[in-house]
Formats: sequence, C-alpha cells, structure tokens
Amino acid sequence: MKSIVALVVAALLLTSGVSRAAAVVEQPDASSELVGTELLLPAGLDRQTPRQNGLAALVAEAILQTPVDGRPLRDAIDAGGGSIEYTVEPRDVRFYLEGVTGSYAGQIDLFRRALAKPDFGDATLASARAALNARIDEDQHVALNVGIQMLNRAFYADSNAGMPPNGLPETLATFGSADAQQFFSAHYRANDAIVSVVGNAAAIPNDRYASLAAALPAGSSPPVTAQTAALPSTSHQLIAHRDVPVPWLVAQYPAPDLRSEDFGAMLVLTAFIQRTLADVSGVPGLATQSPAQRGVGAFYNFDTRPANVVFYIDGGLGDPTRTFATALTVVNVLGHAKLSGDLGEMKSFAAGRFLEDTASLGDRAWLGAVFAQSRISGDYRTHVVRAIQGTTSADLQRVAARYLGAPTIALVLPRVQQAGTPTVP
Amino acid sequence: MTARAARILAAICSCVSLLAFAAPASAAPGSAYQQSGTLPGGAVYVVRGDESSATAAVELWFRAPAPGYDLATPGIARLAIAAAAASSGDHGPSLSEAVTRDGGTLSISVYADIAMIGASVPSWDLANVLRTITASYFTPSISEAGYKVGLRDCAIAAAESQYDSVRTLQDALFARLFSAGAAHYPPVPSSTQDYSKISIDAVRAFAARAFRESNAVLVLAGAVPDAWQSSVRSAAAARGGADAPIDSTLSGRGADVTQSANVSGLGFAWTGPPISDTRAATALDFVADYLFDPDHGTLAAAARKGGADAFVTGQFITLHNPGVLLVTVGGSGAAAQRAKIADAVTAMATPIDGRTFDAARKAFEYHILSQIQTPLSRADNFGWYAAEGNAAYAPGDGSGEYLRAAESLDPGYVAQIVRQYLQHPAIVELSPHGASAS
Repeated sequence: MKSIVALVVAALLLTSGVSRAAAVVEQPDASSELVGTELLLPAGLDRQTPRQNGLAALVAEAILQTPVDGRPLRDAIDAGGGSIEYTVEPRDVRFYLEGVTGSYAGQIDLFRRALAKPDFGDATLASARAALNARIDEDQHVALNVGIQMLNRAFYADSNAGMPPNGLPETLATFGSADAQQFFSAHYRANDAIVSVVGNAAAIPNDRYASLAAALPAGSSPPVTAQTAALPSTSHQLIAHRDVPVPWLVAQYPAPDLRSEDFGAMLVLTAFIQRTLADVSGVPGLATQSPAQRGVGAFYNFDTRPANVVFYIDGGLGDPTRTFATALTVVNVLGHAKLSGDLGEMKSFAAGRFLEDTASLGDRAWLGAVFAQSRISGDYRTHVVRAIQGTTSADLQRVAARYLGAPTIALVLPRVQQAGTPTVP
Repeated sequence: MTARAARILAAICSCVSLLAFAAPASAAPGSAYQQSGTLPGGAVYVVRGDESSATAAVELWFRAPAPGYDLATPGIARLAIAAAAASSGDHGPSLSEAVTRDGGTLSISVYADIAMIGASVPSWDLANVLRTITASYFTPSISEAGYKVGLRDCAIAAAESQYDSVRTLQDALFARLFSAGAAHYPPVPSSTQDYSKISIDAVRAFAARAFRESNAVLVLAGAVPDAWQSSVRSAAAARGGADAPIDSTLSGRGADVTQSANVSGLGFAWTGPPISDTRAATALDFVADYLFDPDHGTLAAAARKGGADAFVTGQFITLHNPGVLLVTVGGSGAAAQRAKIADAVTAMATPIDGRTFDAARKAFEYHILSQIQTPLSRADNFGWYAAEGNAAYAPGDGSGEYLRAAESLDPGYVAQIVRQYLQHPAIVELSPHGASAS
C-alpha cells in the first residue's frame, strides 16, 4: 500500500477552550469563498423522556424559526446569502451554518441572537410543528429512513436515543412553550458545546465562533435515565409496510467507536461490504454513483454511542434477500478465516471512499466536531487514514467475528404486497 | 518503464514525501493557486490547487458532437468516452479500474457539444490517475473488451434515461428549439439499438478525432502537487488546434406539444444569450435560481408547500451560443404547474422590489459558491466554461468575473433580459403510456 498518510495535510487546529468550557476547532482554508460552522450539543434524542418524543426536534426547529430582524432565522440567513440546518441525532443535536465570507460575521450574529433568546411562543411552535409534520410525512416515503428508524428503536435499549428523530404528530401536538423552554434550558448548555469551523475561518474574528456557545447558559446537560421496554419478541426481523414502490432490506450491527482499536478494521470492512453488495446486486455503470443514487450500500455510524453499521439493499435491483444472503456469507467467511495476501487494495478503497464521501464543508465541519467530541486531537483525516493503514488480516477477522454476527433486519415493504414477503436467510 | 515499475516508483516518492511532511515547517493551511496554460501536445489546462483538500479532481473536456461528426450516429460520443475509460492498454489498467480500485469517483458526462471524463481521487492517487487518463484519451486505444463494457454501460444509461423526466424533457425541448446540429439530437439516446449499430472501428475513428490532445481542456482541482505536469502523458508537439465551439441551428419558433413517454412531466425552454454576454447570462442564472432552484426557488417552494406531486427544477444552460433556460417539472402533478411557470416568468418582466431583489441576489451568489466547494464540483465548472468558450467566466475563477457580473445585476436589468429572451418558449408535456404525440 502506498503511504497514504503522508499526503493528508494536518490542518485541524484546536484553538481554545474559550467560552467557559466549550471547544472551538478549526480547519482553516484561506482560499475558500465560504465558511461553515457546526454547533454540536448533547441535546439529542436521548435527552428526551418517554413523554417527550419529538421535543428535541421541536426545540431545534423553533430556534431556526425564531424571528430575528423581523423574519425567521432560517429566512434571514437565506436572505443574507447563506444556509442553516439542523440534524437531531441519537445523542446530539447539530446545527450547521454556511455562508459567504464577506457577510459571515452577520450570519453568525443572527444565529447567536436566536440561541440567546429562542422564541418558543405559540406561533413559532405552531410553525415548527408544521415543519416537523411535513418531515415526518416525507420520511415515511423513504424506505431507508423507515428501516433505520425501526432498527434504532430496537438498538438503543439503554436510553431514548432510538426514538424517531422528528417525533410523532400526535406527540408534537402536546408540547407547549413551557416544555420547549424547559428542554432548552436543561440541555442547551455552554460547557457541552463544540463549535467546529471549516473554510475561510479567518474571515471573521475567532471570538465570533465562540460567541455561539457563549450565548447559552453555563453548565452541562444532565443525562436522562431511561430504560426502554424490550420489544415483545426475540425476533431479529422487523417488518413495516409503507407507500414505497419496492421492498427494501436494512440490516444493523453493533460496531466499535472512534477510539476503539477496531475502528480502522470496521472502516475497511464497511467499505468492503459496500463494494460487495454493489457487485452482487449488479449495480451497473462505469460512472460512480452517489450514495443517494446507489440502491445498495453500507455506512458506519461511528459518530454515535454505541456505534453501529447499517447495510441496505433496494429491492428495485432484484430480490434484496438474495443479495443480503451473499453478503452474509462473505461476512461469515471473513469472520472465520484470516485473509491471505495483500490487503492494500481493500485499504486503499476504504480510505478513498471515506475521503470522497466527506469532501463538502458541511461534512468536514461535522467530522471535526465528532472527533473533537471524542477528544481525538489533530486532523481527523490523518487519524482515519492511519487507522485504516494499520489494519491487519487478523484485525479484519477479529472484528468481523466480534461485530458482524447477528444483525437486526428491517424489511420495508410496499403496502400492496400481501403475499410473497421475502424470507430473510 | 512498466506500469508496475511506475507504481513502485510512485510509492517510493510517497515515502519521501512522508519524510518531508514530518519536518516542522509547513505552509499555512488553505493556500491556493490557479494556473492555466497549454501543454506541449496542445491541451489547454486549468489548475486550481488547494492545500487544504485531501482529494483531487482531474477532468478532460472535449468539444465533440454527441451524434458524431456526420450528425448521423447518435450515441457515438457517449460510447467512445465510456469505451476509452474501460480499455486497458500500454498504460496499464483501464481508467475505470484505476479510479474505482482506490475508492475514487469516476464521472462521465456527454452533452450535445462536449464530452467529459473525470475522476476524483485521494491526493496520493492523483499522479497515477493523471497518467492513466491522459494516456487513455490523448492516444486512445480502444480494446474489444473496453468496447463491450462501453456498450453495456451505454445500454444501461439508455434504459435509465427513459425514466428520467428531466433528461427526457431536455431532449424533447432541444429537438424543438434547434432544427439542425448536434443539439437537435439527444446526447444519450434512449434506444439501446442506437449504440449496438456503432462499430468498434467507428468508435475508434471518433475517439482519435475527438479526444486528440489539442482538442482537450485538462482541469485539475484540489490537492494538486506543483509537479503535476510530470504525470501527464502529453505529446511533444501539438497536432492541429482545438475545434471551435459547436453551435446548432435555431428553429426560430416556439412549440407546444404533448408526447408520450414512460414518465409524466412538463418542460419549458427559451433560448438565451451566448456565453460571451456574461451579464445577460448571469441574469438568467439569477432568474433560474430565484424561481426554479429545486431547494430554494419560489416556484419549487410553492409546489412543495402546496403538497403537489410536482418536482420543479430549472437552470440556465450556459452554452456557447445560444444558451438555454430550461425548466422541468416531474411528477404526476406536473401539468398543473404550467400556468404557474408562465405567470412567474411573466412577472419577472417587471422589476421586483429592491429589498426582495437584494436578498435574492445574495442568496443566488451563495448558491453559486456553495456549488463549487469540492474539488470535483470546481473542476466541473472550470471545464464546462472553458469548453463552451469562456474559461474566465467560470464561477470560482481567480478573475472573479462571474461574481462581478452577479453583483452588477439590478431589478431593471434582470427584467429587461427577461423581456428580451423569455417570450416564446418551447413547451413539451410528457404523457405517460400511450397518449398520442402531436
């Protein structure tokens, strides 16, 4: 294998522990016309109690709809030449603000003001609720999202992290201003915040980034203790019917976290399975398809705790269970026999796919925050590539045997399909 | 030197650079540079190096008529560019194999007047892929195996295009807008028979003419080392010059037709200014963004908000002469968008208020810049604009010409351009499954 570490430029700087205990990490790129900032807070699904299903998303959406200068934050950012979005994760909520260097200071300030004084009034919450209901409806038509949400519900048994990311319309309808304010006050805390900046960061003074965390009250978010009821079945197969054109199979396995010695091997295995699934299902064409275009694939959620790996197969390419059966066979072989020969090609492929799939500013800001959260210093790209490069055949065998033994499988079937339900091998 | 020896040498070079990186001195993160010029073999190059990037994109753009130089061989450009990507040879493995083996991204795009092959790869793989892509195209040797892989790839592309409403509408609209020339024909025919009729000899002859080095624009972006030229397989001297941009003949009339297809859809197209009229072209980019951007455009947003099964998208296609504003609507509710599109365009003929315009222009400039944030997307821009005849106008070019044009826009000028160009559209409605075509 070529010395791939050598050509990855170490550029991520941990600049300070400013703003009380918040961390600001930067990946400066003076040549970029844009700046992107990710604000990561432990205010995700696991901070919800069982009665608060959807409250994390409602609070995040309400922040983006908080009026600043006479219009909702999201619209104000858009009108100023930028974009802002959020994602509710099992453990975290993350906001991403991107804009043009010349006007970025103003954009940051708009976001800071909304964070400092979010509007949880009835009108804003009504708009936020409507936006979330639309998202929920869209999700129900995306088979992969349906499958992942089913799997997460079963996967996170020790907390509420497996709740649906946007809640349910019936639960959202019950939340009022006091609920949102209480959740915000408890879990949007400065000491937990990680601010990750990428792009032409020097376009504005460094303390502006830290001001996002400083806008929040001091302290840390307290964990919410919860024990979800076990699913009333020992089956590892979940089935749902939705308005989707073809059946999908989605499988989930536990996986090592970022700091594990098994991290690199799991990256290699995930990339290998992705390629194997594509080969088996006959994903056509010379040109490389984007993740959204691929009907099959695998991704490694190393940013959550516990981490997991997801395989997915779109039935539009043929019976998904056949493809999955072949993948299972390959995984079993990997777990029971040490690969002979050079792993260089597998490792090059894994490193290449990681870098290719994470080239946007948004991806880079997100990864900067994720690695900082795990207290891994230096350039995350160097860390990833080194982890891949250090993987041996024995590592692959050990990791395949340890993690890829017993998947939980979700089948998402078209509503009209009454007979001939695929049988999972 | 054998290919294997070359790879070993590349690995040794990488080890040397590992030692170099261990030294404490390093450049400030984010240094970038832009170069342009002509290689000894005649290819024009544009390089935008960026030290902060971990990947590099390399693309070759050629001016070549998609239906062949005789305009009678639909699909030949698509087949030739795919076959060359799949052919191994003296240079070693095929480009397709070289890129995918190391986890890279291979791109193929064929338009009426230009063809592109590109790759995005981790930085350590750039030298190898740059050698392979220039060897594969500047001196193409299309193998039997590569030809067969290319045929299969085109057959797949043909099948996919039948269910792609944007592709289907664009082909139908261009056939109405242009009465003759390459743009009259679909660049990727939807019939597999079109490809199977093309012989390997015809493909080889086309490749030899279209992909000659002097007809190429080579674009590099991202993690590009200073010594990139040493990896290019360039001829010692140029054979001839580049072809001129390929223009087609306008039909000179609008159209409003319904044709059967596998998908529902509605499309509008208007001819616009040439790429040389940068201010007018940018004004139509602005109109497309403001009204029809699928994520932000006012019409697209209204369709979403109204719950319509209608996916609206639009763009001004900056061709050499003329450009085309293309608006398409997919989904079962497409037909219901007809009046809304017409009304929205008509409304733009009157200047919009200053506050709304300022916000829309800022948003537009951001959307443009956000579309060139990766090496691959930046290379796509540089290559397209160079091939269409105005390299400096590419968004992200160091000259800043595009952003200057954007900043020069005002409500009155945009309205004037709308009145000048957006009067008589070609309109095509797709009727699925057996509706009669007119």
